Amino acid sequence: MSRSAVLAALVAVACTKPQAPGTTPTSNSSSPPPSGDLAARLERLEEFNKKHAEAIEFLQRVYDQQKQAADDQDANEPDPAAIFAVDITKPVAAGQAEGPTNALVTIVEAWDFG
Amino acid sequence: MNMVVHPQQVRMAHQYGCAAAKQGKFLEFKEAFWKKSFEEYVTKRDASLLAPDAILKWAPDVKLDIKRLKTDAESTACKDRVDEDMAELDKFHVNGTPSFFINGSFMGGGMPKEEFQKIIDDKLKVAQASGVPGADYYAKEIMGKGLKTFRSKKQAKSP
Repeated sequence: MSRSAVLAALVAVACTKPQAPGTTPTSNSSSPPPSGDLAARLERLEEFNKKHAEAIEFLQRVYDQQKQAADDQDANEPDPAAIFAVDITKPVAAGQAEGPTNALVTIVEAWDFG
Repeated sequence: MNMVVHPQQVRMAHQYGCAAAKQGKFLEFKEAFWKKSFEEYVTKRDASLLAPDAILKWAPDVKLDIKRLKTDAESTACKDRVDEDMAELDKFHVNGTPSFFINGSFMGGGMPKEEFQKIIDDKLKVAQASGVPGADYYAKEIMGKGLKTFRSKKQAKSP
């Protein structure tokens, strides 16, 4: 199912009033009951999609923007599960380190004086 | 590792840090810089307080040989030392300070002391369980098995 179809279905659900217990389903202009043959039902769905095209398009745009922003963020943030092999040989040799050389935990700090 | 975020203001301070390390006084230099240069800079917002002239005024207080300090700080060796650190950090897309790698795990920005301590404790348990001696641990477990370049969250999610 395409995202547009999913969004259309979500719009349809959102526009449907919940049915009170013990009541008979009534006809509703935005969510017709699933009756008639397949062609008729398809026609109603197409009509519905056409009617709500603008809303669906808007939702799609919002979805795309938010997805893009999340993707961009994920592309820039490091994998939290990764172990990165930062080479500390030179700063240690240059005396820019603190603590014993046989420590089991090494903290590499990126620091600046500003 | 050196990461110069404000090069116009503190590039030379980093090179002076390298020069102080050549006299075995890197930590003393760093501490003195924060207290004698940076703290006053925060109040007065005068960038000259971070510059070599200001450093050379308090450097004798931490028993640094001023003449040697200046010569080393301006040398290619110390310029390269700072550049090498930045190139290494750039491989892992580090673009802000403070940033940390705790046994290879990246932590960006400041965090509560307790959280920091917990990560260190967890890493210590893993290291102790490995049976690898401390002197070899970083080389063998982090450098030997870790990633040599950046990997993003997005890449990790990709099949």
